[in-house]
Amino acid sequence: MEPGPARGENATARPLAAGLRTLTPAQYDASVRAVLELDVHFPLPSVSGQTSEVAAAASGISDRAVVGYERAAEEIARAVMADTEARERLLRGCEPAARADDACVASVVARVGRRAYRRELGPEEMARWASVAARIATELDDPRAGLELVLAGLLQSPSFLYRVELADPLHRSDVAPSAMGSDALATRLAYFLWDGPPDDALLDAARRGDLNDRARFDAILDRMLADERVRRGVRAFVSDLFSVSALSCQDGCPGRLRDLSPLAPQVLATAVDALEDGGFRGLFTTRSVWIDAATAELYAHPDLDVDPMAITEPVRVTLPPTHPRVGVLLTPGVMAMHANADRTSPAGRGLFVLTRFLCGSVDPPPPGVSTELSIRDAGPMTTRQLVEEHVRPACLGCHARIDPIGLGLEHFDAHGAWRETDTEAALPIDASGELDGMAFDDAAGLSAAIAEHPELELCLTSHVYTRATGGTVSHHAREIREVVREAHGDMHETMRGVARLDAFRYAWGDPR
Amino acid sequence: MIKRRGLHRRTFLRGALATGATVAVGLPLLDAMTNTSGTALADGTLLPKRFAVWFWGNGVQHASWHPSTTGADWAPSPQLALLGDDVRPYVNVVSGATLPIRFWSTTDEARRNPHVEGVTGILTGTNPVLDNAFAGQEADWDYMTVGAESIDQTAARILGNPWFPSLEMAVTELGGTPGSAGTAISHIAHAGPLRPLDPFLSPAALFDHVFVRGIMPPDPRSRARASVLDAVRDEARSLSGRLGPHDRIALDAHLEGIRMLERRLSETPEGILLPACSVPAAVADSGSAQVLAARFAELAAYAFACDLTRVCSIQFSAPGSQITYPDVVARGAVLDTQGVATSFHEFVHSHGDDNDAARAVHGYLLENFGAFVRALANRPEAGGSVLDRTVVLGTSEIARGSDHDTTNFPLLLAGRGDGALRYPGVHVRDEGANAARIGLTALKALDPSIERWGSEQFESTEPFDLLR
Repeated sequence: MEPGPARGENATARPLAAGLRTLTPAQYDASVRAVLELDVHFPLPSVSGQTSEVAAAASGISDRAVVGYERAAEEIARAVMADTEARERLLRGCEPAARADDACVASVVARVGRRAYRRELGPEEMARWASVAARIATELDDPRAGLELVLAGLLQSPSFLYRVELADPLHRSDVAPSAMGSDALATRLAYFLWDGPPDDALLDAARRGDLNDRARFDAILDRMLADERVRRGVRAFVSDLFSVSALSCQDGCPGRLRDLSPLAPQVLATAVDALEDGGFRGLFTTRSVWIDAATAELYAHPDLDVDPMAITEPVRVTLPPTHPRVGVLLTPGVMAMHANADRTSPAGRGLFVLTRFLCGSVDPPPPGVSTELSIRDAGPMTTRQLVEEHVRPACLGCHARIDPIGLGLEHFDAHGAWRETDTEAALPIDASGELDGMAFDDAAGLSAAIAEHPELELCLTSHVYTRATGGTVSHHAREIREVVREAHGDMHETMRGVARLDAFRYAWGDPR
Repeated sequence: MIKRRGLHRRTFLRGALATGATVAVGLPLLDAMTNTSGTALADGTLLPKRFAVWFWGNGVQHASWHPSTTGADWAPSPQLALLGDDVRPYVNVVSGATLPIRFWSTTDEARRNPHVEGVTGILTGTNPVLDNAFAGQEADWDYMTVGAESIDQTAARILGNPWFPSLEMAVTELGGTPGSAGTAISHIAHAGPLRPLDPFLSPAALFDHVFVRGIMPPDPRSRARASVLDAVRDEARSLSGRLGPHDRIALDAHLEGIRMLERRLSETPEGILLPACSVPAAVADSGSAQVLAARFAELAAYAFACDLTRVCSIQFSAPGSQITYPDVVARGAVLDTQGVATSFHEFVHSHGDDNDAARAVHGYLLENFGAFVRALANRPEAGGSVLDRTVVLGTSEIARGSDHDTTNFPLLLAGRGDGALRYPGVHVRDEGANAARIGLTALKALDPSIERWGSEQFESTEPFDLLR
């Protein structure tokens, strides 16, 4: 890629790819559970989630996030030590004492710390936490409290909260990307494939140097891709791909997102299975969808033998060929996410499809041009008519590409519900169009055309690569194409191909 | 509305912890913590200055906004009259200035979004930047960030506060496309490029953060938690040496956040809380935008009066906000098209702003700005009010919603800034001036030694004539 657009001397934005990537809320939850061997979930008290997870991972930890992490860590550690079973699992029969050289504290810190930091703790780190535990144990006259708060400390360490993806200190270069150390590589691999931390086996393998041996590395990939945790990695990928991560804000999503967030689980469940079963094309062709209480009514159809009112738990159903909601793109959540609050947005939806799934590049509108549809009170018009009247000839260069896609989705209103007609005057909807030479009659046909589009596999593979490394594909276009050729749109094979790239082993942290 | 209550020796401060437990904290504490020893406080000379940004989206209604006369006796325009007679003397108005936004790409003039360029220019004095990692992605402006920290964060460094450096609030939803990676349009407050400061969307959460946990007296357990944070800082410091400059800046900010929390856990705010400090009653989250804005305003005023913070930013509506202003619709304004409720952003694009509905929305925004200023005026301090030592910047990202124009930019500077700002407020007409000079003016009101603000075409070395 060329160095970005001209942007003045004060352009100090760092590249997204950095040596420290903050755990996403899902990764934090998975990491806490793995570190402390817990079955319960600990949702992070999140702040207003607005950005994508990839971007949030690069944006550091604000004062407010510090407060949230501290509170969460303290409550988690307290809950673990208060629960007999969880405590026993942690202590493995020993009992902490208020001494800096206590063997029980040392063994727990070494074992838990290794999982938390995804590497062995150094002697200085071990000594630091031992002395903190002893001091607190003495001050509170409670040896367990000493250990408890040290656990909270491990969960607040930068070595836990960030994925530390730095070059191996022995082999770093200031002029070129350098290879990461084994521990960092294991960390990248685990969060990429599992959206969670490396397990003990992977850390052991890293320590033995297995990650640097091609054959043994391939065996590790086999094991990891066969592990059910890979579904979490797939889930994280589709969550960002369909912009559903924006709906997972816990501290109350702002405004409209709050209304849409109940629609997110169905999108994710359907997308994960579609991708696992049918690869990239399956995202646009699957007729096997999940339906839950929030979406049942939106899926109601004469040929679908499911009573929407009877659905309380999510069920997986096969849609009849006559059902219009084929694939993930046409789920209520995705359609509603990509609309204005009050009306559909053909240009917005078209832009989303073209750029997100086909990696097309579209210039924003020129200065002085209103992108809002001007609606005059001159009799009812369909959205298609409004768009066609609004878009000036000079704008057609871009709009001729994006509008037909969005207009093909006009049967789904701003809330993601199916509609036969447009406006209160019940005007008929013409959803036919063309995508790069492939004609379609309606949204299902559009979905099929996306599935067949020659750019789809390369584009989604690029997204997989960015998620894996935090970097962009520009320097590795040839290698990525190789991955595409071998993976044939299969998600697991794409993940395998990306993980085997040399570029996957680079640290991106900027040189000192 | 928040009911005030005085704090007496026997008052207990109650707050529900996230765990559901209720804590009761004996409050001879607050009395004891309040700094009553300095006699100099009586004349107000040692009281701190404060700064607030109050932001709204989509500009103003020009025809009824600008006062017809300049100077101290400026005749209130129909819109500015809505600030209220009590607030107006505290408000300085600049008209005629232009925010010199420019295309963020000098190679492709088509790539432009004044909502992004405007908010970045007026609040950070920089042009938005596109992260290389995002080039060529969907709607580029959704992938842009600011070029530097926002003015509230500069003010926070100037004013300093050992307890909460700044508090961020948003009354209505954030801007931009949900799920996109940019921060320039989604956040008005930034600690730096790609470092947005997430606002509180909930007054109750802010109340808990500042007035429950923020001033909870230390006990052995919280001191132990603080000592854990101390160890975490040691760990971070040893990691810092392995990082490149950008990662190190991010980690340093994280470290500073830890240090602040460590202090709040291990110390009382003794010597910080001012005599006028009292704790507002707990607040709920339900209510219209206007009600939420009033709660945030009260919390800001109380936090200022206590000196728990010296800087706030409040986003009433986002740059390019798509909200439909239900409060205004409830008053009878017709904000729809063919019977379909329409976002205000879309409404002024399709109907222009010379109509009753647009006037109603813009007037409502000014009423709410006035209510914020009034909340500060209603917090007594040293014989006057908190507003006497506050500088409030009220502005938007564009001048006019109908065509994204940035000429004749809306600029309000309210409060007296401890005598630094003119009082009664004046209307200055400065045709064609660089609107970003308002940033320098505001900062100079806080610290006269500040000589410039903004970069490139926004760089300002001369304040508007609002300073005494």
